[in-house]
Amino acid sequence: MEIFVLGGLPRSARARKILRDVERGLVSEARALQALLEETIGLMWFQLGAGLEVVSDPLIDWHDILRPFAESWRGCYVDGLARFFDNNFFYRVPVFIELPTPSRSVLRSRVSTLVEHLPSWAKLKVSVPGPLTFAKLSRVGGELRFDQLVEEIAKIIRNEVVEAVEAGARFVEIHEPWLSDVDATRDDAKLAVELIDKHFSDLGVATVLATYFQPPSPEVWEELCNAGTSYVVIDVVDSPTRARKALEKCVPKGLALGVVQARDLVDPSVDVVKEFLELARGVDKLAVTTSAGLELLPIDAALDKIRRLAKLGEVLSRGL
Amino acid sequence: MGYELPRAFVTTVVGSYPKTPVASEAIRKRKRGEISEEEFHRVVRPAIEEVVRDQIEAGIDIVSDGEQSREDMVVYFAERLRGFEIGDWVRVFDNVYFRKPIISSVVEFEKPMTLDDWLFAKSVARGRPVKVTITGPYTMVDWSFNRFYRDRREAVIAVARALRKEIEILVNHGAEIIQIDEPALPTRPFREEVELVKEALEEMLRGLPIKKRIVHLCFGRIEKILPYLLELPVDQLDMEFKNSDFKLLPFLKEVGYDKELGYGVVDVHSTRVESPREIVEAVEKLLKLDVVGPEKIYLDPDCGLKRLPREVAKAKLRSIAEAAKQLRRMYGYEG
Repeated sequence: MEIFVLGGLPRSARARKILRDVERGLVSEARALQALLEETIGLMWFQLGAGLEVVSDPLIDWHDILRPFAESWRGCYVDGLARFFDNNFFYRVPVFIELPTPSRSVLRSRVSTLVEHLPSWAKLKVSVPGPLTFAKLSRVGGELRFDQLVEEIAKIIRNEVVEAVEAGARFVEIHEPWLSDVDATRDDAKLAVELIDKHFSDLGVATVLATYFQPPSPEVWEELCNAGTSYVVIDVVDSPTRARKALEKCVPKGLALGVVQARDLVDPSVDVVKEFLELARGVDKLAVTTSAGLELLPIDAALDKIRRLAKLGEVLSRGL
Repeated sequence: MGYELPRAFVTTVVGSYPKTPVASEAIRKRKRGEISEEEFHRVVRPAIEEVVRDQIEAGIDIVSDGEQSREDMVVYFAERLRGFEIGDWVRVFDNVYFRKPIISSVVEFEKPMTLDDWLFAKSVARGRPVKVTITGPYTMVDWSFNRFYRDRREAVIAVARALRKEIEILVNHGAEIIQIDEPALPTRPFREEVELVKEALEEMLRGLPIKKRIVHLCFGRIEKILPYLLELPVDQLDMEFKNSDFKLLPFLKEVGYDKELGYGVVDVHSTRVESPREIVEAVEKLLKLDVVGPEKIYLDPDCGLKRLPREVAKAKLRSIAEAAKQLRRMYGYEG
């Protein structure tokens, strides 16, 4: 059973201070990048130390998952803040004025650098925004059609991911939290699956389709079960009833259960987790993960969650 | 000294205003334990006076204390109610954080939290009404970790009961306009969530002689819960419109909106200052729906102005006041 943390991690006090100092012009960008890299390496080694083989890039230098990409594309700029789903957390809205074209790579050098600091047996996991979520959370201006935009975003993200894999990433996590949103439809899910299968199925590494902040509705989930990714993630702690309904409807070939609560300090009991494992019987591949990225927890709580996840994974692996 | 509110297109603020250096320093000193709570509220007074003056100079009719004492809308109350512990830093956006509180025991009222600042703001408001803003129990719970109550409802009602005591004291001192801020509600746009807020508001407000009861909501799927919001025991819903490009407007007609409307006409997440012309046009869009008349429209920003540079915040308020003037002239409410 694979065990991994979804998405990114919170910033330490040092990382927060460095970023503040950069904003105030007290520290050079180069010095800040070095410090953030040290922090990143520390967080990756924390995951290894907890017993995880799949190591999440903690993304502590990214303000939100869309921004680094939006800022490196022509035809797009980032604007004011908007709420990120049901959280007390805001992202900057990308605004597309024309079809985007990349002006620089986001992942290639990042992955090369991170891999250098990991042992060869560790599997670095990179996170990228899914094309559907990216387009849904953006403002689309001018004559742009949504279907054109989403396809273009998918192509650019694919290129990023291909470069990341060439640079040493061994796990690719595609973030599609929109699919858990109350407004997500079956058609949205079909489109997301179509794009993922078209652009991300031949990467030669493990792939994860990540939904979070809620389990998707049963109709949406039914479509996601057809996705060609190695794993499809379902959050089973924010609304266990809804998760049960989804999993009773179908299970994908590869399932990642989001069993460690990423937005609260309290976690479900092992018995609850076991109940979901029962529902997951028959899957080819099983993983356990966090119910979302851990960025919205205090740093100490997030580190504690990583330990808990690793321990839970170990206990469950023994029981399987 | 009295101030006569205009008969229509009254202008107001949602609550927070950019912190003055005096306020920021007072908060720092309070946090470091260098000054007591009583001293803190004395030290912060010049800041309140400054921001009330800004609002008056901009031409705002109903002002606030600018929440100058509040480091954060949730943390401020959590630090002063029993039952909360102040947790560690959690990100809100970019590199901006708040110390997410933890509910760790029974939540209870301890002593007045907003009274001093409100009384002082009133004393320098040159007769203008001063709105009291209180973070609502739903948002208090949603933006805290709950380690004590069995479920969210229990926690929300406990916080509502504690906050009722604050409101009782304010009302006994003459507060007439009470606004409960519930920005967390539209993030879960479901009927049962509005029903929980309704239950909490009833706990907080039942039987109290409050002239104007307001709920403020912003940044979420308000349209999905609008029909249920009409059931809330308040006189006015104050809502964000500008940031979401007024997408909420057609829904007002659809649900037969019948309360006063706090109409958010400037975006607090953008430093671009809206022109009075733009605001007039936004109000005309609303009036065309023939749902809310000019006397029930309160013009204000989408949300608190605290994240904006002070000169931008003031300029936005000036635009609102100028637009209101023009509208009163256009619709025969002048003089």
